[in-house]
Amino acid sequence: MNVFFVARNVFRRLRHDWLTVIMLGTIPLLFILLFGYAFSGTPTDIAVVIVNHDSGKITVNTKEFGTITVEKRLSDDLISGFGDHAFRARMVDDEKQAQDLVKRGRARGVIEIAPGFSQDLIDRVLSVKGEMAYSYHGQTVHLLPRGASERSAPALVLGVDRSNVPTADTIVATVRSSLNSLFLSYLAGRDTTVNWSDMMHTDDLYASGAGYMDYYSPGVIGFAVTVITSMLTLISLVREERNGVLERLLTFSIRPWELSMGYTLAFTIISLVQASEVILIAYFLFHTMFVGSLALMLLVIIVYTIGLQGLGTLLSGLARNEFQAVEYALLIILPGLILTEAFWPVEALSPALRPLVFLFPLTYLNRALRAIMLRGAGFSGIWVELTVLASYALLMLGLSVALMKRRGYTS
Amino acid sequence: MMQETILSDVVRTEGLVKRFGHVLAVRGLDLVVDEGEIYGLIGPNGSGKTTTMRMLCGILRPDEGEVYILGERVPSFKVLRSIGYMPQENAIYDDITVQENLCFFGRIQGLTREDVNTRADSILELVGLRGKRGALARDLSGGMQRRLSLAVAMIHHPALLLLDEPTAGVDPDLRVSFWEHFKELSAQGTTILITTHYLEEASRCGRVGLMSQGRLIEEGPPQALEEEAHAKTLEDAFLKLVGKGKEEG
Ligand SMILES: Nc1ncnc2c1ncn2[C@@H]1O[C@H](COP(=O)(O)OP(=O)(O)OP(=O)(O)O)[C@@H](O)[C@H]1O
Ligand SMILES: [Mg+2]
Repeated sequence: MNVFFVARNVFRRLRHDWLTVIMLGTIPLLFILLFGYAFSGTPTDIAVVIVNHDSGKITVNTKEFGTITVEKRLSDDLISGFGDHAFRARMVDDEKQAQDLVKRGRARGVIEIAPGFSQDLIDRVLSVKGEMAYSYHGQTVHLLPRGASERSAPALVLGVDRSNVPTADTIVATVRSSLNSLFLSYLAGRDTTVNWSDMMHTDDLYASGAGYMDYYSPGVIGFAVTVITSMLTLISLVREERNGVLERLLTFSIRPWELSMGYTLAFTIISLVQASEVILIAYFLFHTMFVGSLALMLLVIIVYTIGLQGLGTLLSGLARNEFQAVEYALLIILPGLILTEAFWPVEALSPALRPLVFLFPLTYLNRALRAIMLRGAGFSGIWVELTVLASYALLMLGLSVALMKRRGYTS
Repeated sequence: MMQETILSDVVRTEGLVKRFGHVLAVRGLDLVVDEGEIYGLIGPNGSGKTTTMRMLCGILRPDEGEVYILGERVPSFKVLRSIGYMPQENAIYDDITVQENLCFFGRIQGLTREDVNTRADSILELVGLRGKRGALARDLSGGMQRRLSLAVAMIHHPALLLLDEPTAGVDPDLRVSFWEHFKELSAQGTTILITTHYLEEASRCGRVGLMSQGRLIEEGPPQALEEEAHAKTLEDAFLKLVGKGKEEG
């Protein structure tokens, strides 16, 4: 019977804590809905730059007319073979410009098609097929192999930013599959496959050789810092609120901003120590890729945790007990798991949710960490992220000081 | 003459009102406490004593009315240094030691490290916690925690002490020595506003204010209150006056 009384008492206490009841009800929903709606499988709409130099001029031997040159840009077929969803492609004429877009993070990869692409493709097809009918000025002609043609460089060169492993893999796989289909369409009915492996070459523009572990570890760091800092800030502030110390402090001659900054300083040190642990373990035990500056990385983490603590302080003002504090922390952490590129790039989310990604500061931290650790980005490579994080930190600090002020109302 | 009164008022409130939802916790309170006075605020549970204290030290914003402390209109940051507030709950850090608590609160009030240490010595002596200097606050008994909280309020030698039931749960011996100390402080010019449910303590105050349902229903030296209510003790007076106040309110 006592078991029943204890259980009933739990529910009675909840009755006066409607916020907790609501959260208890909605957090699982939020969790499963986020997961369910978030993923659309492989990444789509990946920003790529296409530099198409394909001349579309194909010189072939024919039975009927000897050597002729026909115009057919097979690269257009290759590009349409990518499908409508895989890429958000931008065409540029100049490789330098293309690579610059990747450098600035505006594109995840470059697809460069050499002038002899169509020629190379037809040569390879003919070398397998032997002969191929072709409609030339209304007349059917028979194309013949030209014999060994000299190929200097691969006709298709991919440059990918491997610091984003999932999108890099998808770019390579998509291009490869489109090229393969193109060959198959010309070889229909034959089971001989063309060896075209040397026709395509992939360069890692950044983070050469990075694997999934390397991709995840910046995300793990960002996520760990988020979990720890938000829990720490919320719970310790709510505890002080509950035992009256916070209120008492406000009758001492301490300014609200001094109080806020004091907490911020302490929690920042703790977060930094913890982030360092994760970094060290990742680096020394798992040999994760780390080519950038540790100092810059710590700077970004500091700026981020300051903002997060400001948010924690605000939420602690709303939370009436430790229970609610944990729930608020979960509200920060859950989206952080899914909507912030910690473990999946924005391209892997369903399109409707993608704009949300840019609302979460953790996104910018993850991006900055990845840029520093995997691409070796310096200050100039992450200033956008850093600016966003710094503005956010200032805003949150300002709001949390304002809240402290309101609590004490003695400025 | 006018100037002089303002200076000697350490606490002055004008028409103070505080509501919590439907509850009128304080309804139109005019309170004046003079320099060096020990003023006892008494009244039944829920009569608005704590709410009043919290408005005096700037934690709660009054819905109506004004508070002046040492001539400054509250909220005033400047005046905080002159206030020592001891809340009804202990409000100490229970996960650090007695000494560390005093040190932290003292430094925040602008004391140097040396000052804090010398002040801590004499205050711990007063509250009888010298032997517990290194003990974690949470390991202290309930009354000892109360004493530590009092020590924190006094660490910076404030001109005005706002003490919300400082002696609740404190043993009789120590209560006597507390009151000796309060008298001493008051003789040196410290103003003390104190709430208590121990009426024999209240009768040691220079003046007593009796609160009931958010109003000050009687005020004056303890003997005057007794006489007015035709009572032998302050306790009798309290019971009679509060009963009367209820009928009227
Ligand atoms: N934060 C609050 N929210 C709602 N009501 C409150 C709050 N604080 C006080 N009250 C109400 O205001 C009234 C006055 O409370 P207050 O704590 O000032 O009484 P008190 O005289 O200090 O009582 P006690 O002798 O029990 O300490 C009470 O009715 C109380 O319920
Ligand atoms: Mg009270």
